[in-house]
Amino acid sequence: MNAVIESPAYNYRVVRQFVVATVIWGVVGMAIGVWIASELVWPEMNLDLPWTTFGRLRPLHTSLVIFGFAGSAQFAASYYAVQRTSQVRLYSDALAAFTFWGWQSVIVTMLISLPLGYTTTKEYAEIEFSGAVWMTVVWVAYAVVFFTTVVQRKTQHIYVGNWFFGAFIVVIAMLHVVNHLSIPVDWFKSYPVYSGATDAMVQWWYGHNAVGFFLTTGFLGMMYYFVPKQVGRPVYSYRLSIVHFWALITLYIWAGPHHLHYTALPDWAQSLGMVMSLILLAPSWGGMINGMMTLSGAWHKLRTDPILRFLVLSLAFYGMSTFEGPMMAIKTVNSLSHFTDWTIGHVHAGALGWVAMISFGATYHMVPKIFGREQMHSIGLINAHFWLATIGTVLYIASMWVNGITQGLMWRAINDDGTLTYSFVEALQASHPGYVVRFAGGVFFLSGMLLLAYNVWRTVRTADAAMAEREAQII
Amino acid sequence: MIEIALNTIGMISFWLTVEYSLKHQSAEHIEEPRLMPFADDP
Repeated sequence: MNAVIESPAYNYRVVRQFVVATVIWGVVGMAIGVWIASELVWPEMNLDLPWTTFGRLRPLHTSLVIFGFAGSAQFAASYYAVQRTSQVRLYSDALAAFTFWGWQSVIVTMLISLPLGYTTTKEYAEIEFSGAVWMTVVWVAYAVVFFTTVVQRKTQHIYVGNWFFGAFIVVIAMLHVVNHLSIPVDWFKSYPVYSGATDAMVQWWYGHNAVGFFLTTGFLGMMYYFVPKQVGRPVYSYRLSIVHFWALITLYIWAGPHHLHYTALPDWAQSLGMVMSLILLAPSWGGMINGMMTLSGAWHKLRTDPILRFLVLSLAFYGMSTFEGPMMAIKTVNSLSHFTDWTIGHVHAGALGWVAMISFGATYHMVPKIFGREQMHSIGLINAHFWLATIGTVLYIASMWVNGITQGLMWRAINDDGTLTYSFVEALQASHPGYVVRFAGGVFFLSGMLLLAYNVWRTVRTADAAMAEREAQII
Repeated sequence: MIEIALNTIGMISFWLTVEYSLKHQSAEHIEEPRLMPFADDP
């Protein structure tokens, strides 16, 4: 034990574990996504069983890809980057190992309890009370490991990527605890302490910031480490990174009410949410521009480096979806888009285009280093993955745009006598071709994920332990 | 009216705090940590 602690080497064991978990939950979570997409094309795909209906599998899909895939990716990336930029071993091997096994047990709890129908019914917070409490314990351990490592750093500055990871850890803890405050009636059933519009407001304060902090801030931390490393150039402007960090975390927390336009929420709160969402465009694009400009003078590397292509395309999708989001938060636009598939398309522009693609880039960057290989098993397969992921994302979001606008226009169409022009079923029938295209997009994206899993497996199978040990030495 | 006055005071205080904190920082010093990801390159 002492030998491990005194060894001047990074803790890559926990990073390796989280990278493998990222791949596994990515495959499982995305496969369930494709399955539920098929249920909207062929309803009999729900197998006529309660456990496999859309209503139960959809929260399982979102929980597995958000907390399983994206969560594990952020654990891996933050543990990797904080050690390398602080030039110190991760604090406490035991606590770091606890965060891995604890987090995986949370995901397994979701995997079992959600299909069985145990749910809070709160979007992205479906895990019931006992699971939510356990999740808090694991998250606190994560905070202790991360921040103690930062405190013990050998460098003068705290690198900006670690600021983003730190904000992600602190704010997610706050959001999770406040939104899950509830009165349990047994291990897997509880009722929120809030009611009515207050409950809705707390839920969407959480829900939007789950996007803002779990799916954005941590990934910006990832971007600030892996983009400069992969390009081989320092970040374009450190000053811009600090300015947009403070602006982003100050503004994001106010944007939640745009999920509740035209509801019982007070009108002033809706307008505040709309205005804050619009202002949020500036810091969002600050990060996107900073990442893109890091490639100044090195754009030619995109021709030969598919890992860099993943990272850059993720920034392009980040820019696109953070433009689309504020537009959809405008009340008049939202009156058309709300409850339609446009929202689903917007979420996936961010989830597939930004979150998943930057995770793929970071995974391909880390795997050879932490497992002791010169490079990934096959660069050709990374390239094939890139195109499958890109085509899949475009098919997904384009079909959902068409579906969303079609649905919005059909739902609001009225005849001269004030009756509805179209029934709901007619709008559903008009959506069917879009569901087929979305399913195809999902199959493309999942195929790419399977290529990543195969490529990682082939790379890991021939891992060189001695080389991995050399790579882990603190210089 | 009091809200506008308080907001204005708040903004001015915030501005002065940032300016004071950065008084001894040169542009080069602020950009210095850019190189941190490369510090452990062999």
